[in-house]
Amino acid sequence: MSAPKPIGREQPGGIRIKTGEYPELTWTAIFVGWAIGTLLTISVAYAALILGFSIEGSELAAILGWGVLRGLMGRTSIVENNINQTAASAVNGASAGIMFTVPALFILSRNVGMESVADFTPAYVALLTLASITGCFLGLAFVIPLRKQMIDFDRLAYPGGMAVATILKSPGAGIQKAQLLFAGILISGAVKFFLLRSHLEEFDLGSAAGIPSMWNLVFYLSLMTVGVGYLSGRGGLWFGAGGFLCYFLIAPILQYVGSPGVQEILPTPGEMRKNLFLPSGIGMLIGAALGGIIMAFPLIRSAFKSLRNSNQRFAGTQTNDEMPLWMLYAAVGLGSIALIVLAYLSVDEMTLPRAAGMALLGTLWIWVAGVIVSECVGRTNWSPLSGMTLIAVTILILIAKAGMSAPAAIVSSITVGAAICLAISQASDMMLDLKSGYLTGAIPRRQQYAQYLGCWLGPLLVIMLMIALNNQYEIGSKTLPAPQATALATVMDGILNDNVPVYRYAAGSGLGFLLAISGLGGIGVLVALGFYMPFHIVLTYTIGNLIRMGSDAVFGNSFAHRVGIPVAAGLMIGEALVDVGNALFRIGSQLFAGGA
Amino acid sequence: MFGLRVIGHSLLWIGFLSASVGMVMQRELDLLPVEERTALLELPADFAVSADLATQVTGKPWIELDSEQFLAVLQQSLAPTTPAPADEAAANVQEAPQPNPTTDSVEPATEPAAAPKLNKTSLIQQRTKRVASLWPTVNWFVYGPALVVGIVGVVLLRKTAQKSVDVEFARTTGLDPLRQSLTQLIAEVQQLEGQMPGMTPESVVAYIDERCVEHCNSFADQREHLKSAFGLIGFGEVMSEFASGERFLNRVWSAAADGYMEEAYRSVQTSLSFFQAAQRQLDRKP
Repeated sequence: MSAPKPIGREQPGGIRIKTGEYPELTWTAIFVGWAIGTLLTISVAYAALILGFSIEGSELAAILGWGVLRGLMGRTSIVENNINQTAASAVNGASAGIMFTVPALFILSRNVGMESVADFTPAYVALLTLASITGCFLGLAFVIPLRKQMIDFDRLAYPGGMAVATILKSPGAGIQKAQLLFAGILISGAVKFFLLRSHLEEFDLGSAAGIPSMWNLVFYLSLMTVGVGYLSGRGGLWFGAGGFLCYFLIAPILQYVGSPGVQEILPTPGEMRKNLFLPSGIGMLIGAALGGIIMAFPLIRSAFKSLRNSNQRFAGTQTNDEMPLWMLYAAVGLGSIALIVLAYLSVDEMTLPRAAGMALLGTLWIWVAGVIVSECVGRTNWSPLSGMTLIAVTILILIAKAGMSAPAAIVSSITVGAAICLAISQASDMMLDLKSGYLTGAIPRRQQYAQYLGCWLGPLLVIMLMIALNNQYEIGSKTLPAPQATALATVMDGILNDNVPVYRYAAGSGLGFLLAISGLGGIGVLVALGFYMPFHIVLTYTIGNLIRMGSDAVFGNSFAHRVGIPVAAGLMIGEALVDVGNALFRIGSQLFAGGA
Repeated sequence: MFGLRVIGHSLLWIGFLSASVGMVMQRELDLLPVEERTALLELPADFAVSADLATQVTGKPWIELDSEQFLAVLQQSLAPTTPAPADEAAANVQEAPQPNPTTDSVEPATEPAAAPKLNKTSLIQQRTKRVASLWPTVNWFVYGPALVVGIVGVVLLRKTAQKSVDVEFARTTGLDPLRQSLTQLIAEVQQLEGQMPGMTPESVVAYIDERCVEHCNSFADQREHLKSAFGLIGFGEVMSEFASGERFLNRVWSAAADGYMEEAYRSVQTSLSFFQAAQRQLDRKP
């Protein structure tokens, strides 16, 4: 029997033809993903405690994986590096999920009568870790079936996923695209470096032009934001529309019809946002998501049908793209039961019905919030994770506080709340990675396994890091201010004292629902996000949208693919790299100063 | 019908805007008695007062004071003798039962922990807790009718939407542009499959970039027409096949760029089978 005819021929000095299996889901990729993910997670989690923001790990993991897998190990597989970044960013998903929630226990423990809430016994640490890992598994099980709807049918942009794909494909994309990508990285990095050195964050065009401060004409100085807006394109304009509605239409109207209390804060856009638009925006996001789910029900049904067909049609072959549905159902079922048990064990005062109530409502919220956050990240690259966590903790405390002491209510709510926050964080990261997988031709099932293989490690690392840091420096102190957890602790305190603006959530959700059922595809979530986000970011993002629309109109759509997208991806990556470098520099300086 | 859609849009956005105004036209402190609200609004932005002051003066916390008592304590905290913010914490701990911050001296040996401070926002929060219900913070009399107007707009939009798509569908010769894109794409992918054994990896990458991507984008950009022709479920069925085909075409690109031509070849065959399945789905509609 003769050997099969070889496919392809080599060009002298060109790409070398390799035989054998195309490496994708390999243990090398997973181990490198764990290693890069560990590095990223420790840095990002530490930075989150000091600076209050988290950094998406996918792009950095792709770049580092590019260096390690290709540069050091001589491995040349785009889809293998995609698995590496999937696993690494899954590890890093715990940074925000835990650091935005659990440190609130340390902060609240300094209140009189609350000392016991930060009693991190080995048993509680084990329970918290298990709850967090359960949350990760639940979030993934809920969001995986939505891949078809969000990526295949709706073709959401996922600007972060596009940037990752651009990095992954850069070795084969030709010299021109690689040059454009690196030019974008250099320009954006240099600009960010200059802005950091000059302590410039925004440009107040309104003040410069003598426009009243109510109009909030302030631009966030960030080429990354322009790049994200460019990658989102015309579809992202509704996000801007939400912000414009708030400050260009509603605020001027309030000048005439607003109450004295509202008139007082009109000149201060930050107060306007905090008091009026932010809580309304959270409500709108919820309403828009619920409306969106109802409207997309036939598509979701079609996606499930397609998943079932795929499982049957291609069972056991490479073409079988999807994780078996029974595995996802099992993950949801077992995860829900585990969450009930963990909630029950979290505090002595917990009763089984209350634990079941908290866990089941929490599980339901994971699905709703997972959809909201995945869609927001898909359309704009911004994730309302903290808002969704806030709602989760509000729901949990409201259930817990009726019949339990305040410390018990706090501990149980944070335990389940951390699981929910991690679930939402994993859900949006999974969808972003699946988009980069789509663009590089990855097999979704393999990426989904890689995400599961990566997500358990993050909670272990971050919880240990958090306890070690608290023992060394005390979370909530000047050294480790933990801004997000401090904000959550304040809100929790407010919830315990019945201080939740449910009326604005309710009114907002009505409006979000209205837009979602209008049939004007996807605008509900976008307009809601425009209400929710700071307007200076929205304004700069809109510039990116307009540049894309202009370039499409003048140079055609292909220009964006040849030139615009590599540059925009570079703008995102350059700023992220300088941000991480700056965070590490600040942490190092602080440690050095502390040690000295 | 165009007129109806314009009316639908107008009603939706007028309703949405008006309801938004109703949602945010008041704040919680507007529900307080007028004198109290006025006094709170007049507080300077950097206002800070000891959380214990009300208890020290009246024996009741801020939240339990009636309006008259609250105004009296607030007045006292604003008295010109009030120390500068930096010294206030130290001074306040001496304020019992009738404080006089300027004359009370600080005795470090007996100094208890400083009482927490209330700023303007937290003081407003304390007082608004006295309000029986904060739901009237949203002006439901504006919000409700405006929402109804918006709903009427949505009903009009949804009723006319299908007709509008049908008209557009007929105007753009139905599914023909979609069929054309997909047919051209299939022809290009078939040609790629046929030529691949003799191609270099670089030429495979260039072939996809130059001859396939545009047809893919063209099909995807027009995919909304599928909803009109097949409904949402049928749309999902066609797009599911098409998207799988496109993803495997991307895999051909990656595998070729990495030099794995056997994988590229297998993937181009898989891609083609998905595109052909999409075409069969599309051909269900004449």
